[in-house]
Amino acid sequence: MRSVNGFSINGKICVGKYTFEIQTEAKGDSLVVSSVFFKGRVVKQYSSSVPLGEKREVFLRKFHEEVKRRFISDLISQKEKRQVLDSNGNLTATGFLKKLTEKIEKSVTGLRLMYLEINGNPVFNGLVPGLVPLLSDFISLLNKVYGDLEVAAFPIKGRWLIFLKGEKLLSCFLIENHRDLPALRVSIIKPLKELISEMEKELP
Amino acid sequence: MHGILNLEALKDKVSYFVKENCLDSVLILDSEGFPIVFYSLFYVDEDKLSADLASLFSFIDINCNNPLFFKFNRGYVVASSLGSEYKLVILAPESVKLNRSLVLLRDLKLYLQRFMDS
Repeated sequence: MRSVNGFSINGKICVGKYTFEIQTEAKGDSLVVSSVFFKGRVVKQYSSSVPLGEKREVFLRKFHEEVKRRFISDLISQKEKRQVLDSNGNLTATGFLKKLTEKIEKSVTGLRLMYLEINGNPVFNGLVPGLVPLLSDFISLLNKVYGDLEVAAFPIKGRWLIFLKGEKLLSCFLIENHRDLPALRVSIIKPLKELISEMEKELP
Repeated sequence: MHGILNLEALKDKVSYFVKENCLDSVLILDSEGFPIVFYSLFYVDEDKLSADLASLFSFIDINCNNPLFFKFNRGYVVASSLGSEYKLVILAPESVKLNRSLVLLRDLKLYLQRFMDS
């Protein structure tokens, strides 16, 4: 539903149960401004200058359609931002998990994050139920003798799990590609440890 | 099967190996998770250690080619299977290093395998 006169276009954008109104108008000969309203109040404005050689009315229509798309993608990214940042702008557990997963994908190939604990609180658990409490029991038994756990590696269903304990994080990775030599498994630990300690700096 | 093993002789072999290689402990578990030989230079709850390890082994695929390891600040735990019925676990101090712990695990396994087969 949209109305058009020579210098402005009105329309609506429906996102879920919310309806926004959008008005795109020409300001002078070279500027086009699009305003998005919700319950009569402007919630977002976009503007652009009319490219040289393009008719103002033609560009107005194009810009109007483009703003609809931009507004929806802005809404989605704002929602994602709210999930990954808290009110102080710090990364939330979800945000941290997302960032760590992205970093692992980029820096160490063939690895999948299976478990993440931040300051003792589980954030993500993709492991067999019961394995983590069992490991915690075993680790706490040996803590008295050998101190904190740094790393553990063992095979499950033909693949390898690597547990890494940092200052704030306990994480577990599954080696996706088959590495049967212990030396290869050990070689993957150093870059992982560096990545974990780098990521820990981002935690409050 | 360990009924026919000479456990005293096995324990002697294990204790000799521990002292000779500056290890802390060696534990041999049977298929049901019971400790059949445990020799340690420090106190650690043998039953708890065996039970925890046996439960852990029930989750993981432990075999000759895939030793598992835990690296702590001041020591290591390495383990692998010993034949089809037993599990072999070594606890080593930090000075022994992880690589050497894994080599010693392999050596001890061969050593005990020969003894058990004889």
